[in-house]
Amino acid sequence: MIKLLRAWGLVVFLCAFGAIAPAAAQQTRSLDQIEFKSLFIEVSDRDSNFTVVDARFDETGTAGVFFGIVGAGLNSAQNAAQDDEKADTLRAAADKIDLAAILSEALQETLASRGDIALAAGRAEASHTLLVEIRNWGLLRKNREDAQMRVLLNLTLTVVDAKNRAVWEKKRENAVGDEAAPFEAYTNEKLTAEMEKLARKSGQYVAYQFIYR
Amino acid sequence: MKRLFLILLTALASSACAYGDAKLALGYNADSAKAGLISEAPSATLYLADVDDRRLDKQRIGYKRNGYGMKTADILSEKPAPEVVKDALAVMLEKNNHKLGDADSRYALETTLTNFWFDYKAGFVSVEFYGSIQAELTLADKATGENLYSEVFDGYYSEKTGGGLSGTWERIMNATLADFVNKVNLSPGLSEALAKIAGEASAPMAAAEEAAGS
Repeated sequence: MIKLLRAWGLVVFLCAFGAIAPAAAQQTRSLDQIEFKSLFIEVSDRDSNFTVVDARFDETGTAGVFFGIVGAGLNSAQNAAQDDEKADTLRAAADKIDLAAILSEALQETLASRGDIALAAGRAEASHTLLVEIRNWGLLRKNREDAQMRVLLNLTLTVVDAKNRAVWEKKRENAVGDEAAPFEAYTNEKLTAEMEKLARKSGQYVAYQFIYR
Repeated sequence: MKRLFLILLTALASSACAYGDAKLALGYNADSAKAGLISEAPSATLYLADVDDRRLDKQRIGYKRNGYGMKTADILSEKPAPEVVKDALAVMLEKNNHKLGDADSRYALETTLTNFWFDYKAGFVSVEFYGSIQAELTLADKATGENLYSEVFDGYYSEKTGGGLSGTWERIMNATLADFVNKVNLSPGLSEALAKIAGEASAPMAAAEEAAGS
């Protein structure tokens, strides 16, 4: 019992002061190691979340969500409420944007134009399936000092084989728009146009990762 | 008693490194660089300008944190982050058969770096490491002062493992750098812009300025 307590004490101490033992990295294959005979594309927006990140930008917890920068900070309810209020003004327009369809079309068109990987009509006929999940999307403040906003699209990509085993995964495939404007400039039309442009760009980029694997 | 002393000694030695700055040797692996979409554009000659560093925190690229998320020391890059990014872009351009010209070249690739950051979140049995690099690239015609193409690229990499020290951190940031470079490498817009200038890229600056003025 004493030995167990000593060992536990050591683990707690090491964790508290940052000395964490190295361990084997999570292994997945790279795309060039996968033999694609045919690929089925599935784009899902089931877990997507339209959001505006302005007041929350400075909070490390939020930065973690979007750019993987995680600290001890937590979103304050007040900042979250301010951002939700902004998102609500654009939500009706956002609900009408079919990002999954645009992304899927751009991805399939780009892949088909090169003919490098045969596209399958369904999962059953495919050697592999590419699952594209749309996660957070909307408007993101440019940076702490610049209050202008850019469109944001965050995806998770997974390739599964015919037995539904994940053979490749890429989390938080981030894309941001090239234009920045104050939040007030984002009308329903501007949001729709820029999000659709970003979805097309992301679809093409995902396809080119497979073409130039 | 002797065993307890050894345990405490090991713990103290291990904890000391949490309070010292870590310097990472970062760089893009030229051997693993692949030609991408921008190789489809005919070869262009570009001046690769020094990276304009607009990061909010230019002193460090991350923090060491203890198990409670408290900052204990800085994580630094041996080579300044803007140079790491510039060198990576140079390798990528050359891998795609584009040439690096001098400051007199008509066309320049200008980079504004806004983010270059590493962080991690320790869980009970695993640690998730994250890297993020964001920069805006602009292809500029120095003769006319026109910006021909501009795009924001966002490189990102994350990995959940049982743990890791500076070797793991270096690998995570180098994978982030590779993701950033790969996005530039696969940009249809940049590829089109390079194709447009390829024919004129070798035109001397003075002749181009004259043509632009006439």
